[in-house]
Amino acid sequence: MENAAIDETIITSLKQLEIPGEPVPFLDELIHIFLTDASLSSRNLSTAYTQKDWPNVNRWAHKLKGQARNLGANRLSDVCSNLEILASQTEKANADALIQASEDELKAAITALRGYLRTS
Amino acid sequence: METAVSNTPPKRFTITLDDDLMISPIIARTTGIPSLVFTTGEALLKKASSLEPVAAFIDVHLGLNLSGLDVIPHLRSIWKYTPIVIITGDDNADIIGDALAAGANDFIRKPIQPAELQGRLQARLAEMNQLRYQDEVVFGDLVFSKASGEVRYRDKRVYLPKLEAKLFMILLENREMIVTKESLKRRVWGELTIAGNTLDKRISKLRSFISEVGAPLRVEADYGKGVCLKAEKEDDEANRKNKIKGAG
Repeated sequence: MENAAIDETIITSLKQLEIPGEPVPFLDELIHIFLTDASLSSRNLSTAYTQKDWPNVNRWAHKLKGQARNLGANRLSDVCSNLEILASQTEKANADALIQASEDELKAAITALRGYLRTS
Repeated sequence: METAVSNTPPKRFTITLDDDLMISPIIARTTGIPSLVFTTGEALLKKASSLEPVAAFIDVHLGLNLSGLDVIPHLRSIWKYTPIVIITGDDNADIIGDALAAGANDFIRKPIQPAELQGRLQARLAEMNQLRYQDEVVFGDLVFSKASGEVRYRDKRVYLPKLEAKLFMILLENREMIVTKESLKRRVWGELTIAGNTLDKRISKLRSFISEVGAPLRVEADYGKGVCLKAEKEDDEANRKNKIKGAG
């Protein structure tokens, strides 16, 4: 079975931190942070790649990896991990494909996470 | 960017050094107390000597400037008995080893698992308090002697039986933070199987002892999450005394 964009067990553990009746469910709060911050990290990653600024490719891939892991976006996290490795290697043959994959997986993660929102 | 640290930080708080803004809310929710967030090592080091956190959670990777690893030795020299837990999304074991060698007490990987964070924090708090307090634990006007189980509050004293003393020590170490019932059972009774309401009965007895010395503390049970020892606010203490006077 293909990996889902979001690991449900992470979502479940975060939901357990919610306080009944809170105006904005805690998970929603985290998803909103992700929607803003992960998108920014992804844009910075693309910019760094365009400029072939490999230290910053590494930096933004690492940051996006952490943001993805927080919410169980494991496919995105794995792609970012591969980008970190690529940034530190001499051979960069797969770079285009990995950057594209990171953008695709971010879109998939965002779509999946929006499905968990209970507030706008 | 740093969180505005007001002139009066909350009484019990942790510190999170991480430029990932999801981390400090997760830590705050898990521990039940606020977590002051700093996004750069420089900002934290400027404020560190004026802060007394319960624990500090430090991201190893922090962008381009000071890394978490760079900051840890300075924090350790300022906070001798504060647990420092590193947060890492890195699979590299060397980073963890380096952080522990630099003065961190423990580590936790992303994604943060709340139960794991609670367990590690409680264990490190217990260790650091063992180092910090030879025998007496002082909390305001309350003095608890670990060896004798004596609780002194102003001119009153009471002696806690062994199990209540253990319970009190754990809750005092983790005051204002939620401790799960499973964790309490394990730490007080170890591997023994105990009856379902044994812990609740001990908690009830502990409440009586606290009330007997008039200490401004209350043991709150959140049946979904665990138990928490909280300091009463001044008006709560006044109300409690008025109730006692009225009953007398």
